[in-house]
Amino acid sequence: MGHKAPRLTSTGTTIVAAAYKGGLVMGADSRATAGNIIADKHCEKVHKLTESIYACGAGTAADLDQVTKMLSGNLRLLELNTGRKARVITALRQAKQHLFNYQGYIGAYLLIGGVDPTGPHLYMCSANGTTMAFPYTAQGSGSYAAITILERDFKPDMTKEEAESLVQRALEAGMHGDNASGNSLNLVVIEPTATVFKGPIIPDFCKRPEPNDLEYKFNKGSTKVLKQKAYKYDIVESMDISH
Amino acid sequence: MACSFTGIAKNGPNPYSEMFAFKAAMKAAEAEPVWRTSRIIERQRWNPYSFEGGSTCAIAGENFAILASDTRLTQNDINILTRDGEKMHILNDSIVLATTGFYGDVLQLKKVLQSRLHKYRFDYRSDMSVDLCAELLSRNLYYRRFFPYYTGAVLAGIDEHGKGAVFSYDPIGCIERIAYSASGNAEPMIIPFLDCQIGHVTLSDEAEKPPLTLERATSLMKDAFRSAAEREITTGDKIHLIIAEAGKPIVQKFLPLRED
Amino acid sequence: MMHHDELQRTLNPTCTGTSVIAMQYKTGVVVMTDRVVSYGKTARYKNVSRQYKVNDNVLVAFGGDHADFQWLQNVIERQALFWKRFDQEIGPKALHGYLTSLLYARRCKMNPLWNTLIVAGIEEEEKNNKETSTPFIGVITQKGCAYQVKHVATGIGAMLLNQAVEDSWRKKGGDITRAEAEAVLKKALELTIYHDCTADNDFEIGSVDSEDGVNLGKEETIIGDWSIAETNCQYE
Repeated sequence: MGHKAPRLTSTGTTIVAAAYKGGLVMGADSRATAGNIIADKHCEKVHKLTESIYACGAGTAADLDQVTKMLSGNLRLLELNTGRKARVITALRQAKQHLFNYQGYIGAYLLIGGVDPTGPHLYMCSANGTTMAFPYTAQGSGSYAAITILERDFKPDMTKEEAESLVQRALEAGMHGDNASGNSLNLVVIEPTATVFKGPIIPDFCKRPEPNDLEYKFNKGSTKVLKQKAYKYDIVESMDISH
Repeated sequence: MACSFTGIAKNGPNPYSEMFAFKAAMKAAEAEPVWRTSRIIERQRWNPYSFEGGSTCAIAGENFAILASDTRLTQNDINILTRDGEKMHILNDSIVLATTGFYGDVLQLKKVLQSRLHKYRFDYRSDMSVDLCAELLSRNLYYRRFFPYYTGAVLAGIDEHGKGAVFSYDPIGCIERIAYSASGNAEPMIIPFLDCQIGHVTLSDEAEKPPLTLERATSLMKDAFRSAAEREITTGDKIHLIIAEAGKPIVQKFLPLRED
Repeated sequence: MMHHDELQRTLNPTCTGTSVIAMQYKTGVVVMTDRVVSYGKTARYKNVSRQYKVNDNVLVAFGGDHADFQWLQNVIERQALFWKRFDQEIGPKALHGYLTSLLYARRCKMNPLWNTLIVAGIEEEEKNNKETSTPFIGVITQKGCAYQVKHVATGIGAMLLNQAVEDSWRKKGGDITRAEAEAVLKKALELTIYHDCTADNDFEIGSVDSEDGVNLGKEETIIGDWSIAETNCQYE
């Protein structure tokens, strides 16, 4: 290889977003990894900031949760104080100033996007505070495979259906080609009038092709009883925990 | 720094000593320049190993041995090189080698064993037995004690008595004949599963213990890889199954696994 | 302490070639490389071929250090001549095996050849047998990790293109024609120039076909679509 393999600081994820005529589609896979192990198969990486602003996150899961929680809180307060809908640029500024303060030690790589009175916007925000505006972009370890699909098939002023299908295909490429992404995908379609959340969608290659051969049930008495002790107690109060 | 420049030429018997000292100092400075901090040296050190991920597993039965691996080769843990890699190698009618780790070493190890087996056939006009090959592999691994083959090797097959045999190794040739073994990234998942289902280590003495038939072993093997592919990111794409039964030709099968 | 002669080893590549993309079609293999050799991020030498024709059945393409590859060309030629002494032509599988051993041996000496190699070709004896004739693509990494594939992208292309190329290949179910395969490769090159700063839009597509033998491709150029640049406004 003629170059060093890029070291990915963002933990395994594929997040993708693309703008279309009058709106924005954002999406993420749902795999959270701890080293080689899948820690969570259905984790939610599309975070709601306001009714029409969403953030997709790659990087350290805890940092992402806290940063997006802080952003959504601050934006809601802003909306209540001003009586207007928050703008995407406000969310971006808040995020980048917070992240820049922490010199990249908060490992949050965000795609912040949404629709506000000035139109649809999509921004990428790196953990060190770098931000950029894009018509389409991808982040995370699967971003290489995903951006290829975006670059190949993106057209300006697509319809909603085209944009949705594009983001889904880009995500699927990331999930298929990248070990650290997969399981299922979530999409959010943001338009001035309504925000629609779709998911989880499970692509075919993420499905188990064959069920288990055997059933793994243990009969009563399978485990050796080493010691037994009986406690006597009175029932003071009881509740139904069957469901 | 061992040499000094002052006074050597004046007092020393050798008129060239100053020049020699200077040359030595230059050589030392070139080999370890002051600006080359330990961090830079560390970065410049080239790592001869890479890891291609995946897992393999083997079970020995009364008259059979069964091996399985996935077929995914991975680069840097996340990027897929190929979905049709071969981690298991049939060495002869009764020996199969299954390996994970650094794939370059895997290929070399395979080549070494194949050539030794070939020579054995030439010399003795019969195939090597699995016990012998197991010892050979151990010695070949230890031969590279200080520049190891970075492989998790599992050797399995049918021994001279027609019984299934599985040998497990560490990278430098520690050998053990056991009933079942696994190596690779999903080893920490597969071993406890087999401990429970074949070793019956969690069962009480009175509990019913199903016998290890070929069918059961095959199913356990498939299920182990299906479960591993659920939770381990470098294991996936296909199960490669090899069944060696005493007195029968070796059978190979490929089964689908999830690809994400 | 660092050993003195370590300074004389390729511990960093200098002039390098980037991705190689190759794909099998019904009766052969197409291999695409761009035509630039980079020195770091500069496009140091333009109009340089990164493919080497070994004989009428085998083609080798490389990514990585260019000096190492030029040395390898010499070694490969010598090996091909060695076979010729016995009236044989070295086949792709044999060459792939030979180069794997070579790259592995050099890594064991801690003196690696800084190359990712693609060996493409068709075995002579299989050439006329349409049933068993399977075109060959073999990949060898710098450390001697070798495998066979039906389609491949190396270097940064492994991350960017592998999945897209695989999907196009799978869509045709392996019955892809030469023209279709070339179209996929051209699109793939277009996609590398958008992201790989050491990739070039000058490229060539070499081929090994069971009827035509090895053909080193002509130099071609694509421009790509840069209209997206107009939307690139970083106003906050």
